[in-house]
Amino acid sequence: MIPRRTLGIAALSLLLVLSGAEAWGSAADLDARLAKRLDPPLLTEVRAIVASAQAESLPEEPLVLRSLEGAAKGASPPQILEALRVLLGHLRVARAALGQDAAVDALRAGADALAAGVDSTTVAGFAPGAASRATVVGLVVLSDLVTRGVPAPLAAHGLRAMIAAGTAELEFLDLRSAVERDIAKGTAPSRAMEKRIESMMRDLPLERR
Amino acid sequence: MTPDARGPRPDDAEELREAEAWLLRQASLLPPVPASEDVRRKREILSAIHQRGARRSSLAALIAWLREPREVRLSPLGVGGLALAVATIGLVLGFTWSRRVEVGANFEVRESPIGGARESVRFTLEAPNARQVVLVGDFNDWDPTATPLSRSGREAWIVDLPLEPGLYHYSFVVDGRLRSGSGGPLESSDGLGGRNSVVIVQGVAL
Repeated sequence: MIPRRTLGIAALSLLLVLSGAEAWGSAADLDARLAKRLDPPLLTEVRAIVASAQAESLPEEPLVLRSLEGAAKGASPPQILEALRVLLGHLRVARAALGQDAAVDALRAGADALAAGVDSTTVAGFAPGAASRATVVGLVVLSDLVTRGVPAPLAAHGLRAMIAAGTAELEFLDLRSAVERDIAKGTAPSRAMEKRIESMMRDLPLERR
Repeated sequence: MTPDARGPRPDDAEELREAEAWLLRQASLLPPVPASEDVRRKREILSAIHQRGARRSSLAALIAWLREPREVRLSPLGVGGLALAVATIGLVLGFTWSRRVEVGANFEVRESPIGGARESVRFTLEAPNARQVVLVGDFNDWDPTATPLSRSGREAWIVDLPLEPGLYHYSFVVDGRLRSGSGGPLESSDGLGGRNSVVIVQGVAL
């Protein structure tokens, strides 16, 4: 009869081998996707950046996608590498701001917000719900509003209030569209945001405000 | 109402006729006076009316001349030159119009930026003059051959994609040219100096 301890060690070893194989398979898949579209010299440097993300337990997929996007858009190798370094830096900052439990999409949305000019403190304000879908939507809408001229702290404050109130995700988009319309009509971006947030919060049931 | 208000009585009318005859006799004794400014203006207006009438006659004559069937002789070389000129004008006008429409208000994205869980997300682009539209994005590794759109009606191009829950950046390639900032409801920097549209597909995975 095989001792229970031996069985346990064997099971653990099998698990490690399987998970290692899965990770290797996943890494091989990423690499194959890159190799199909990038020239060898660029591929080598992209691999190094992706490996450093892996070493820091940061998501590699956004980096792979950005390099494929760069290739599709005809960006030069130095442009692609610069974009990857910037994105890696933003993912690092986003994880520090949103926490270890943040979903990959939240990290990506956080990185987008940082790229749009939002500071890490403002991104960190979204940390409490960083595993939720509403946070991802909130961060994406935040980036969009900031690029339209709405001050980041004001936009973030309004969006966090909406997340806290459990606002439906489509309402974030309604807010964004309304602010965009107001700006197009000549309202100052900050005033447009204030007005729309006030209106949205006023329409919420009392228990959700 | 008084009788005076209704008009002169028969006796009064006789008196008026006599007064008018007397005034006319007196007027005929006066020397001729130069035409007043008012009269001169009236003459000018009448003259202008006459001239316009004359022009109208010329126009009518021209129309009649144009409507009259007549024989036109052209050499084969002349016909070729005329056809070439018409084709060149058509091409220039068509090209200009096509470019204007492509970058103008008819270039529009209409998909919902938050797709439903376990549903296909429909991507729609209005590009009436495009010959080919392709969707590129995170969902197809930005492969410009993977996801062509089909024409729907006269203006729109559509494609339905079943997407896993998540956040996706995407853009359109129209006639081989990638659009930066395709006009989608949500946009984000692409880190390469341009902009992408963003779609968020709902689901438990986020």
